[in-house]
Amino acid sequence: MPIHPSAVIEAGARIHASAEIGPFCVVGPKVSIGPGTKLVQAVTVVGRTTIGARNVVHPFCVIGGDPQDLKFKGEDSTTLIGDENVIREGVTINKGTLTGGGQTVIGNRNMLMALAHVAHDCLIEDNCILANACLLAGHVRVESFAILSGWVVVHHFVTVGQSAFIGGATRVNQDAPPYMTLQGMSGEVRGVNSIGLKRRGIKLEVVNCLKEAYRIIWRSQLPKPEALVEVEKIGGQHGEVRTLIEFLKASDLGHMGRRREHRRPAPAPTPPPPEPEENIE
Amino acid sequence: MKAHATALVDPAATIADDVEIGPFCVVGPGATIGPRCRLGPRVSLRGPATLGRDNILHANVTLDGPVAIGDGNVLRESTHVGPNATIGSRCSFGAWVNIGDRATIGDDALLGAFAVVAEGCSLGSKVRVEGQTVLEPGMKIGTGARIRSQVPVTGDVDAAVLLDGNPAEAQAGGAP
Repeated sequence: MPIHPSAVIEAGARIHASAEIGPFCVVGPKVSIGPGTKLVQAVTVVGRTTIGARNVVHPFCVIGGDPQDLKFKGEDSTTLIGDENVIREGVTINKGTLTGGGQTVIGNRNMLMALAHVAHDCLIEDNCILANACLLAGHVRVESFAILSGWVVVHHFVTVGQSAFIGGATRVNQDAPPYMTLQGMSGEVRGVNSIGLKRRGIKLEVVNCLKEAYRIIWRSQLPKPEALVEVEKIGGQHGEVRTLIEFLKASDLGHMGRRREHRRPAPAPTPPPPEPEENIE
Repeated sequence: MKAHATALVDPAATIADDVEIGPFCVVGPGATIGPRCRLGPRVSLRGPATLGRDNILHANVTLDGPVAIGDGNVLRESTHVGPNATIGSRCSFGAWVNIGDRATIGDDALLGAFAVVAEGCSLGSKVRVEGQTVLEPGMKIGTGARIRSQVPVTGDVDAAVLLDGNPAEAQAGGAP
């Protein structure tokens, strides 16, 4: 187990024999690091954090830190990271909160570029890319093969659909539909992520069907329910089109265009106003 | 004081008994750290910084020169505070926040990750600045104002205003 002598490994940490811990790293007592994972240098891993196999974590990352949530009261929540992820310099990943499910999860084969921030209770599935300084607020779900460009900010409880492409400096305040590209301060849908779909090996016939679906849903004047019926007629035989339709229906059923918004804990009841003092005069 | 063996703490620093200083921290001469403060790994106090009580500085935070910080603040990872900046009490800063030289932050302020407060800015109490927002030098933000994410702030903001858009515009209804 190559651990640099300057690294601080607290008692209780479980580090696989083939993992590498570089200079000036700090590994807390409830951390588990899997085979072949490498902490390059000056990485901090704290909290109840499990990192799988063959990940590379670059300098100045902080993984498993306390959530930035006013409801957090020191619970022993977790951070789970799968296999073969690349986490570049200065990335911060916060652990979960009990009210939000208790864990922050990063799947497999993701790339988090420098300075990306993943807040509490986020779920990033597999094969996603978060470019530089990308900011996920709490409870965000990013489905597989999604790409978030640099300086993207994602609102609490948003779901980014699979194979979605978010352009640079976009604000994503509502769910981002799968297979689509979004851009701008309001996160507008601008087209189909045809390059991403081609890379995944999606058939041209399906891509063309998604392009027609985009035209009907976002560029025609049809109301959303009627547009979805039309899309079902032209492409309902394709799983990807059905996924798009179901995604949009679920988002519409949510609140503020966010299907996961119902997970937001109810606000604490306001205490009753104090009884007026009796006039003793 | 409970300082990790790898921390470098200048003997001239004034540190309360129950302060925790993490691995690889550097505390320079003239620093004053109040009771129950906690410094995470690699925190750097390079000048005569003054911290009140119950402050938490997470990993890689840098206080660069003479900085005055009140009580009960939380500064998240890699936040940088420039020389002669003043921070009130009970503030919460996200990761990678940058506070410029001579900036003044009031009490109970919330700054999201990557927020940039340029030199000479003045923020009143209970100001909320969301992530990736940039305040240009010398801006004055009134009490209770809220600035949404990614908004470039190029002018002063009145109290209780909700600012959004690019270019920034005050929104009807004010700050929620």
